[in-house]
Amino acid sequence: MRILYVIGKYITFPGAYIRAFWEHMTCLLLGLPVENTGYLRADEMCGHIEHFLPKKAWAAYLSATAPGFMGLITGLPLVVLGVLNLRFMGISFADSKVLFVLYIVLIYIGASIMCCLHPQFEVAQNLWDITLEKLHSKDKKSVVGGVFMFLPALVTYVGAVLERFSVPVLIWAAGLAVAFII
Amino acid sequence: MSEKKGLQKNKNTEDEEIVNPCTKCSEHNCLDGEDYCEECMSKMLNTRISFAGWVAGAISLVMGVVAVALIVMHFPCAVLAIRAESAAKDKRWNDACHYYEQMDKTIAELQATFEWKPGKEEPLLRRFFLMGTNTRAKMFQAYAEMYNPMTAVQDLMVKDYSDYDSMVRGEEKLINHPAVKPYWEVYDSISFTEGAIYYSGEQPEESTYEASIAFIEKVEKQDGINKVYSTYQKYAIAASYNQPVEVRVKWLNECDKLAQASGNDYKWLYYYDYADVLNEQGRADEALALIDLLISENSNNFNAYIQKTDILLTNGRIGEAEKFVATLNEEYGNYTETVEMQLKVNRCKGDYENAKLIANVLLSERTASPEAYRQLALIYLAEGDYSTAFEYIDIGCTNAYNLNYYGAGISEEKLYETLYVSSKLLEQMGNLTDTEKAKIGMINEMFGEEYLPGAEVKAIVSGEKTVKEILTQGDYDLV
Repeated sequence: MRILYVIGKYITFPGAYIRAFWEHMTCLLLGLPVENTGYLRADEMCGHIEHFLPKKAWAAYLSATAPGFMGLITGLPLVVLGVLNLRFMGISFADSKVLFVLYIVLIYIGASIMCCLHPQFEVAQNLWDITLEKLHSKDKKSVVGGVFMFLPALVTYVGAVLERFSVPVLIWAAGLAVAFII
Repeated sequence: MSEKKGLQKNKNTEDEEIVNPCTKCSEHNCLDGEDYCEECMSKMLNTRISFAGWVAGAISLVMGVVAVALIVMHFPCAVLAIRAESAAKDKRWNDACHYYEQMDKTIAELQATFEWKPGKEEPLLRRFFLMGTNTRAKMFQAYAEMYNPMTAVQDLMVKDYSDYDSMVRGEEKLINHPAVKPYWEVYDSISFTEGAIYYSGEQPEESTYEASIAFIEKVEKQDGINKVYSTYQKYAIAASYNQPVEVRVKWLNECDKLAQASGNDYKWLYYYDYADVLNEQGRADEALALIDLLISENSNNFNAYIQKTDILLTNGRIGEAEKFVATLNEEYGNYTETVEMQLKVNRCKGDYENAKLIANVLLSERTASPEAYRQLALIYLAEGDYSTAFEYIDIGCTNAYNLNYYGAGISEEKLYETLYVSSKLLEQMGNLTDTEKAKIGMINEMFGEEYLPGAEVKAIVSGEKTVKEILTQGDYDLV
């Protein structure tokens, strides 16, 4: 499992590195102590930074989702731009070597960022636990907060589980293959 | 609010006895409820992002913003490409061509935004808006399927090049694209054959059917001749020399055999004529099967729709024609061709009032339709108002000429025959205005003595049959 994870992260190293940067940034903004700042390590923390788990709901929510959100808004446009040009504008190597290589690189970087959207499992687990706690709370405000947090927490949790097995790498590889074949 | 404030501070001194050593440094006691000492905790709260991290983050952010801006500009083109591909998948080639044309136009507009003049350096952004060879190949294929390889190549040449050679030099990538190559080979072989038959300067001395056929058979012995095309030319010669239908069918049968053996698609070349001659032989169902095959390969093929309607009408199968046009109306109700077919069916049914209504609506929206004018002329002929009929067919012919419409949906022969019959009947009626006299004089000169109208036109002109009799009994091909 760890091997699969590390291989997946090394294949998508630009995304893993950028993900770790956004995590680091989020921790600094939230005032979370960071235990280890290595961005690309050969263990289950590859592409993440080791930090304290926040106890407050909003901090747990932001630490789990904000780096992924930044990845989404910077990674997705790169993939879309590359696919639009190579797939629909029909740019080939023969048309322009520079543009063709550029779009391939953009797709790779964008897809690698998209493969690293989810937090490490413990962070996602923390958010999930806090969400469930809120949903089971007797305080109505907490329940409302839990309801709003439920879907992002679920997506984050499932994503983090899948990322442990490098499933997003396979999904993105298959998705891009389908986009260019159909 | 910061998590920092939630952390309890517990002062350690160097003299302090280490009871609960810090997990990280082991030199101090941990803070209450934590695994780290105050010093390590402070360091962890103030970690620095490396320079490489900042660079990576900044680059990804800038790239993301630039990509969003470029996507906004590329998006309309991509939507058109998706729609074109979807239309091509459904074999709606006309729609596919339309979307590709729109895409081409949108790209040109985008390029124009970043103005560039020859001699100056091309703006960098301009280079981001290109229709690549892969998409251009799909566009070419859509044209070749909608019309034919000849039209597709000629259209490409007219757009950007002064002659064929400069096009071949400029379009090397496109010509060698696997999706384009088969069409280009057909174009080349037909052009070569056409040149050998018509432009070699070795035309037959005698201008007879036999001499012309013998000449083509001599040409066919050369290398590189496209036999399908040369055989089709034999049919064309047979048609121009008014050979019996059996002879014409014989050439088209041969053409069909050669086309099937060639592995290339030549239906665009001879299927319409094939259907016509089969219909002439009374084999309407076989003719309709050919047309249905054309429709199955291009569901936007209005020439095929028109021919199918005509075959049904000339065989008196007005109910079937009406049903067929009604189904077309559901999908292509606002197309000129569909409205013209509706008009024709109503006229053949003898529902002149409705037909006039449809024609007037059509002409108020799309005033140039030569077919609408021709149908109106036929209605007025059937009603005995030859003067109005002549007026309408005259406008129809002028419009057809102005629109360079010949060969693009309406048969030149049908226009001429309607013009001929209208002018003859008006002349016979007498009491002509000066303008009518002048025009009829020109028409008589144009057709001359050698003009051979169809048997039914002759019957009308000679008075053997009335126009109404012929137009409503379904045995006349002036549909």
